[in-house]
Parts: sequence; structure tokens; C-alpha cells
Amino acid sequence: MSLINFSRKEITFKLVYYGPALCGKTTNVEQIHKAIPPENSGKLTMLSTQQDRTLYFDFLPLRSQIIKGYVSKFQVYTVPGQVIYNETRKLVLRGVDGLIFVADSQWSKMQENVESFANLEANLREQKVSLDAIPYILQYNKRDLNDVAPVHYLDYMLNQRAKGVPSMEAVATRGDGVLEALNLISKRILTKFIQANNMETMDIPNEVSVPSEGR
Amino acid sequence: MFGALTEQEYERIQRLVADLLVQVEADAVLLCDRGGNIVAQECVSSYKDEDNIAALASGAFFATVEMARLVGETEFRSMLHQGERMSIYMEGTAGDMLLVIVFDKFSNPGLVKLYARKTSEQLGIVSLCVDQVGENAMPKEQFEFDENAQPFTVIQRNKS
Repeated sequence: MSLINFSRKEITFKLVYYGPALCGKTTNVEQIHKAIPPENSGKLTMLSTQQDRTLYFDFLPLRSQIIKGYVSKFQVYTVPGQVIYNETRKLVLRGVDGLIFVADSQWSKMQENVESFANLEANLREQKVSLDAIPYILQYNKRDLNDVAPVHYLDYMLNQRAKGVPSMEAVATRGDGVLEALNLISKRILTKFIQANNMETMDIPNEVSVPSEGR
Repeated sequence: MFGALTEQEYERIQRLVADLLVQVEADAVLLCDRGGNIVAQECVSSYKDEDNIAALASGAFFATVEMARLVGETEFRSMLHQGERMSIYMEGTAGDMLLVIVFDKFSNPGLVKLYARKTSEQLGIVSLCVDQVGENAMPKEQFEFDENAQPFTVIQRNKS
């Protein structure tokens, strides 16, 4: 749930990176932390196991001046991808304002992608929230590897809800497609927030094509 | 969905949070919601990382709800993490909020707990406006952003 503080002129949004184990959620956040100037980015907190797997969540606070007269705070979280940490994923999803679903493009990971997406829908449903009500985008990561499925196949597997959403290719280890995804979801969150505030409509435009945005 | 904190309500809770900081000589007092968002905060000037503390504290505190259920409780009302130099005390408040107090070894944990509970009672349910109309309506404000601008840009590195 976004929180507006009229006294401090701040609006806080919660953005969550979701996806199967080892798909690159933490790498995305690490790249964001490296790329964004320190005045707009706080400390990156990572709670990992000894094998560098996310145990609880990663957290990165970001600030932007995109809304006139207000500081927009984006609290960026990743969820632990491993199946056993579902309770933690539910906890992190609480009050989410926007999502980036990071899919691993490798053919061998397709089932895990689909299961993770179904798990996202189920966890939201448990919190009485529909995925249709939350701005989200799909990021197809690891496009530099050899054994990757084509984008149209990933779209076929993961972008089949009544409303299509933008999907973007990425190589998170190089930072390719990382900031583009962050900016795109941030704008969708803001659009939804402003529309809801203005009481025009709760729906956001049904975008299926992604404008090319340079880093 | 979003919630809004009016200036009057913010001033009320901010005063209580600031009073608590002085009463227990804490480094930081944060009031955050279940999602880890800071609703009000008061810190000594040298203190940073309050967003990270709030996110972690809220995650840790609300994760114990399930543990509480396993032993037949609804939830554990408070948690204390005591270190050699610094400690953190968390107290659940009405309306699913969490009071987080960061204090050093010179503050007495018993006193922190006592004052935190008092503050929690005084806070009551923090009134977030979620309605557009009626008695609990949020202030009218038109928010705008430039759709062609990017919320985040990368560090401009100097060419050498």
C-alpha cells in the first residue's frame, strides 16, 4: 500500500522482484545499487546463506523526485526464490505496489518459471489481492546464455493473462535491461497511483509494447 | 490502494515518537507499518539507515506471528535484540503498526520497554485516510509527474 505523508512531502511505494530460484533477482538489485547515484539510493541489505542464496530478502531504498513537490521513495525488495521459503515470500509481498517478475530464459528453467508465477498468483490471492490489480512487468533474464527460449515462447508461457503486460529482455549480470525495467515499473506504479488518486479509473493502460529506453 | 497521513495526525504521532526518543535516550525511534514503510521517525542526527532497519524489523517482527500461532498465541507483542553496544526493541501497536527503538548500552532495556508500551497506548490506532470523501477523506492534492522523464538515471562517470 503506498503511503502519502503530506507533512514530509513523501510518498512511499513497495516494489518487489519475484521469480524462481537463481533467476537473477538479487543481481538486478545489485546492479541498480551500483548504477544509481548515492543521493538517490540507500544502503543495500542482503540476507544470504553461506552459499549466497537469498535467505530472507534483499532490500534497497531508492528516492526519486519524479512527482512534482514530493519525494517518491521506492522500497525495493527481492523474495527468496527457493521453494521452501514461501512464508517469507508472502511476508515480503504484503502491501506490494508493483512487481517485476524475473524469469530465467533457459529452456531447462521453464517449469520453474511457470511454477513461480503460479506461486505469485496464489500468494497474492491468499492476501485477497489479484495480480490484475497490481502493476507488474516481466523481465526475461540471462539472454546471453546459449540454451534460451525465444521471447515469444516465454510470452506464451508467462504473459497469458487477460491483460498482457510489457516484457523485457535482460542480462542482469551486465546490467542490460535492469534500469529499463526499474524505470518502466516505477512509471506504471506512479501512473496507477495518480489515476487512483484522481479517481478516474483503477486500471492502467494495457501496454504490450515496450518503448526502447537507452541506459 | 493507498493510505495518507494528514498533517494533524502526523504531528500527533511525530510528537509521541520524538518524546519517546528523549525519554529513553534512544538513537532512533521508528513507527512503521506491516509492509516496512516508515510512518514517523525521530533519530539522532548521526543516525542513518532507518529505511533498512524498518524493513528488517518489520520482517522479523511479523515473521514471529506464525511462531506465536504454533505455541497457541495470537502474536508476540514485543521483541528485544540485545547486543553488547546496541540493542533494538520492537513493540507491536494497535492497527498493525510497529514501534522500533534503537538504543545503546547506556539505556536501560526495562525502561525502554516501559516507555515503549506507554507510547504504544498513546498512539492508539494511527488514522490513515484511505477514503476520497467523507469524514476520513484525505486532503485534496493533484499529483503530477512527467511521463517522459525517467524516475531513475545512472551515475554519470567522468571520462578520463
